[in-house]
Amino acid sequence: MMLWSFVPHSQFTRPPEPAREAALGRVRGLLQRIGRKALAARPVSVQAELRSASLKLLDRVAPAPRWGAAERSLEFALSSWSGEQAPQQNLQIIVGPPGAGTTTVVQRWAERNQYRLVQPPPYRQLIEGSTDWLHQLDGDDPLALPNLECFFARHYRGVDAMRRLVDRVCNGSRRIVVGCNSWAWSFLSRTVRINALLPEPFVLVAFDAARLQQWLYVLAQSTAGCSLSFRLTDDGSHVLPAVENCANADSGDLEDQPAGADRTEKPSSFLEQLAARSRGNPLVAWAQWRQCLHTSKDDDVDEDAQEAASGDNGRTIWVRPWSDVAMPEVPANTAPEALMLLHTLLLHDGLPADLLDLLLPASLGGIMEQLYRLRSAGLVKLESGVWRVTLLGYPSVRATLAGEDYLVDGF
Amino acid sequence: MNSVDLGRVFYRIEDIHFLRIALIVAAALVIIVAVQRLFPWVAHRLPGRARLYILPLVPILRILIIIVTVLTVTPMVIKPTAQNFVALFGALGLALGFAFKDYVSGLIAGVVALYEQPYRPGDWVTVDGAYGEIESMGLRSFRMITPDDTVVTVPHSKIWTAVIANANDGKREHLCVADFYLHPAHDATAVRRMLSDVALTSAYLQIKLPVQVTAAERPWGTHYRIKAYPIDGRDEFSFVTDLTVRGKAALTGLAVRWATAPAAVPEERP
Repeated sequence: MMLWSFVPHSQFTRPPEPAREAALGRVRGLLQRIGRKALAARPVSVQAELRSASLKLLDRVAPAPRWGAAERSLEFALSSWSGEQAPQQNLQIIVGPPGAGTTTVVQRWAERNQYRLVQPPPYRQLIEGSTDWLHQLDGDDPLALPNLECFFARHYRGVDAMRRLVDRVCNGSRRIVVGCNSWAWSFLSRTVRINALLPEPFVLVAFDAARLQQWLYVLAQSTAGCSLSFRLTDDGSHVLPAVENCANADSGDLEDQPAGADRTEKPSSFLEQLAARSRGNPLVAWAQWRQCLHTSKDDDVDEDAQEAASGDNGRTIWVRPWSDVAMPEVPANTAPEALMLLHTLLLHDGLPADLLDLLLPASLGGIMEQLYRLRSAGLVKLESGVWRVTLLGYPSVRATLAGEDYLVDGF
Repeated sequence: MNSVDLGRVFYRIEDIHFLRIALIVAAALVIIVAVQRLFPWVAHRLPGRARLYILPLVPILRILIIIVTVLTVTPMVIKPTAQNFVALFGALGLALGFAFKDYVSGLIAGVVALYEQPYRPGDWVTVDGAYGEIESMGLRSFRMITPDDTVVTVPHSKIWTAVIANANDGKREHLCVADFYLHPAHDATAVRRMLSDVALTSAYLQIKLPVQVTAAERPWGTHYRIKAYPIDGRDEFSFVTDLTVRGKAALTGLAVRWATAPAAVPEERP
């Protein structure tokens, strides 16, 4: 099984959620929604009651993924198209949800294959209606637009800019590879019919339990430096196959190679739930996995679990069961303005605050207040001046927006 | 009726369990009050569409509780024979028909409204010129809140004679319209496209439903209407305001002129 694999959008399927857990989850969500307190004005620590693993340990047993294997998979998916002298279709589209690494993978592929990268214009140019940036598309050399979501703004002039871009992209014979955020793709499909004008996109295959087992194992194996066992704190059962000691290696090379453990071992129910809760999104699953890892004192772990772990080689990393883990949730009665704000952030894969003022029917002060509240709840973060929905908060934000009839992506 | 007839119809005073009857009626009242408070409380905490399924249950449950209570209490007071029931309800009907005919008409209209559902809690309706969201439905009347936060009580009996216009009919979204009045000398194609983009980029828009921009020529100029659906019908006025403000900004950028004379009179909302 290739860990990273790109398939046509129509072949994408999400990992299934175990039926019992799905039913319990809905009831739990309903009760939480009815009983949940409103968004607090003061900062609340999401992890107040948990003692999660230290960052140093997390970076050893669950390091940040590198995208080398994903890039090679994209290379494989586009190889026949790249090799054709006169392809039938000059465009290739790659779409992915937040956390699928679409922009990074497309950019790296483009650099390797010497496609010229087209830089998105500043948002204010889009809003002001300037079209100077379209001159980047002049010529007939191969182009790459790794982040199509940055070429529009949800503004009446921003949408028109996208129409002009799509018109230039479609009318020509040069090869162009486009990467796009799934939320922007859904929005642009409704507004400028981009799904009808451009070919069916490739998407990263969903990370089901089997893929997660392989991936998380390899991530741990690559940098751990010692043997590891991952066990649940309540019953001591293995969550991943035991990691054998091996020398450090570039995880980017290992992510698509068979690991030392038995590859046919059935994934644990924990991983099945991880796949379902993350909706098959690798970075969301990775963030949730790190959230569940725990270095505990003995009083946090059941005696049965401790006994089961007594024979482990190397170090035992405890994993909290889902019932003991709190992920950021969108509070009940969240103001409609906050939902609009979250939706806008997802459409554009993050925006600076001063631009939100131009795209939302609210004052900058009101927007900042909502942003701070959402940050307190762990749902958004500020990175290099750009506000984004957090990986941990993404499943709850998406579920809430879907429940409130907002347009969501197809992932 | 003479005392002998009454003796055939009613139990003797000493045989009637007044305390039990009082407890049953009190329990029914408590349940009704609990339903009237709990269901709206739950409805407002659930995802948007669920509210419109839960709120209409309140008047239905209330009428069911009343029916069950009457059916439970009546045999405790009246000897349950067919003859007695016919005699009693005939007398009641005669009395109510004369003395409380309008009230009874309202009650019956309320039952018909529950069955036919010309309106339900959560609907935006227009009755006799008053427009607002139905907050609750009682036995005889319903309460609606207008956009100016005025509470209007409308008797159910209005359904016999008045035209009741329902904007959303149980759905979460309903069509909203923003009007623009332009001087006739302009590029209509550019204006239509611009107004369409104004609607498509509104944060309030339910983008899964169609957006339409219509144009009609009038003696004083051209009347444009953006017709679109907000995600939540309760945001109707914020949505129309957003369309109007951004539409005016967009049209100003196109350097169109606004209609001036005669004064543009908005069409009456049906």
